[in-house]
Amino acid sequence: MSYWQSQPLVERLIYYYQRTRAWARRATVAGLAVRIVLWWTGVGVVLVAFPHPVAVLIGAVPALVAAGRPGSHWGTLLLAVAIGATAVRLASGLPDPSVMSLVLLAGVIYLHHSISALAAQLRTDTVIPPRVLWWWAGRIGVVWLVSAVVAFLASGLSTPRWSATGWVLAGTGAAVGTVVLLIAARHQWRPEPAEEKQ
Amino acid sequence: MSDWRATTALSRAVILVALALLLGVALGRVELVLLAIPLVVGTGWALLARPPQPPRPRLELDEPSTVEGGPVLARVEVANSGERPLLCVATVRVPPWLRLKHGVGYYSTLLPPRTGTTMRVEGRVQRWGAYRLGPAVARSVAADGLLVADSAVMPSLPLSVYPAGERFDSTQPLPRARGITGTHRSRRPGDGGELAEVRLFHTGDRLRRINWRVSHRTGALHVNTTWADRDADVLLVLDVRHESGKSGGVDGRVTALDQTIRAAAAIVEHYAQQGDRIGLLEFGTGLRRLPSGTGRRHFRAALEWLVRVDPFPRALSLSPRLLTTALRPPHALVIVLTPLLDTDVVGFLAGLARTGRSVVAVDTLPAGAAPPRRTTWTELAVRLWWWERANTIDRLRNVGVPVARWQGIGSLDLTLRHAYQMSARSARVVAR
Repeated sequence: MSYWQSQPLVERLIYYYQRTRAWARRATVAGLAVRIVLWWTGVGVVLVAFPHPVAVLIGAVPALVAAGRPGSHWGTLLLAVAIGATAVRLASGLPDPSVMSLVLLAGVIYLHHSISALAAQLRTDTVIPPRVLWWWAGRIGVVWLVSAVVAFLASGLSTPRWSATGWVLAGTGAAVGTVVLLIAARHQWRPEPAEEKQ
Repeated sequence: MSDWRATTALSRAVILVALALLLGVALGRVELVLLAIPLVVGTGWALLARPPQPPRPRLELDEPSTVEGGPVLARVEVANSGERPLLCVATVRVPPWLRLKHGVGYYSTLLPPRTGTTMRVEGRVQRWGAYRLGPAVARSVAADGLLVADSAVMPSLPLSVYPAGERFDSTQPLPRARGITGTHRSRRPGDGGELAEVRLFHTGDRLRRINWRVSHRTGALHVNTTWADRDADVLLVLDVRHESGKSGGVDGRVTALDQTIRAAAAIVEHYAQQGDRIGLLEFGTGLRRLPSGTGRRHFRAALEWLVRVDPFPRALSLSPRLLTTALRPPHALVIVLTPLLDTDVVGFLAGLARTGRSVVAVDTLPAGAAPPRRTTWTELAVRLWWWERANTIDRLRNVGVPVARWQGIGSLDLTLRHAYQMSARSARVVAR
């Protein structure tokens, strides 16, 4: 071992280089492809929510972190920021985004969420048969189609003549109802406490 | 309580839907509801049907034993009893010398409704040894990745990888053949293939043994006598206290330990096929032994014994004195497989020869073995060391220990002939 190789900093850098190389050797093409697509969809969410080159450049970093750790809440944070930013745009005096861009944003948000759910279960070195990816893609396509139909039907409904208070109450009821239903589902499959597992 | 657990994805869906809907209501902008529609549809559809009981996977190994470089095939079998497809991800711990055909031990598959499927874990094992494949766990993923369930741990399975050395063959008889039948020429006259002498006919001699040509020439009846064929006892002593570098597996760099184990396997196979009795003795941190035996079953037992040799030699070892007491039976031919890296084993070999035992040493140190180059003096030091070692081997030969480098087929012929002659000479001395 030479003098330079024995230096702590160089030694650590060599260690990280070797770890990265070992990881690259282990990784499978499909495993990496899932992460790369996840990163791109993260960038896509930022691109649609903040249509500005600088925002995309800044957003690429959290998107990369979310793709690197799909089992964490980094993805949740990224998507929540995108929804929040859209809300701010709608509430501020700026010109409203087009319906098409909102539909696109909704689609990309779901795409990122769904791929993130898949990536959280598959390490980059997992052997993934192509039919797993095709099935997942098909499922996302079906959800997109059904969502488009639901949105189309909802927009085609005749608007009832309610007062502003009635609108707020109905909206709040619908929103809270949906959330409660989802939270109930979330609690139905709540992780078991460690002592109960024994 | 269900075995399924919620994932971060389910929490994310709930949080994002709640955020979009509540912001839409708070700001009075119905457009924000649009953002939540795919999440609501996707999550609702995923959770609409209750997932079935999580599959109970099984880990199976096609063959529990193979040879170095041979194939290994294990299967993780899973079955989906539900109406919805499941994603199954299996994690199998694989032995260090198993080179997998695909991946590094993580496999995924799609389980269609009401069907079973198999994930194949296949590869080739590169080095001898006693390994365990597994343990393994399988994670089932349901409801679009919103729910997961981990299976119980599948216990590991034993995998024996037998050494695959060069084929060994020898035509030399072994000294001190014993027993009733066998392939080795003994020093007793009897039924056999090798001519001992032509002598005068005695009462009781078989007529078919009469040598008519000699009888005609001499005018008196003469008969051919032959040496009896007997089997022999062979005791292999494996010096596994030292290692020379890092093994590269069956296709890579050979170490002293690799050479020792592969040579032992080849010798055992050869003598087992001949019907000789073979015993094994490990000279390492312990004094493990396999009693003498013969036949195919004993050969398999010997291979199993060989793969259990500690692949990480330690400097701490037993005294050669203890080894001397374990050399049974006393008339056996002792073949010591050693890299000759210390003086203990040299003294042991010389001592054996002095006591009149038939002993043969097989040098298992690979030809290019050398320590890593540390300084400019390393090369010179290594050359000196090799010369000193060559001197030691010469001294061993002088005291009556034939030493041969292991080279596969026929590599022991010369040394075995030497041992046979030495044994015959000592027998004649005793007879006088």
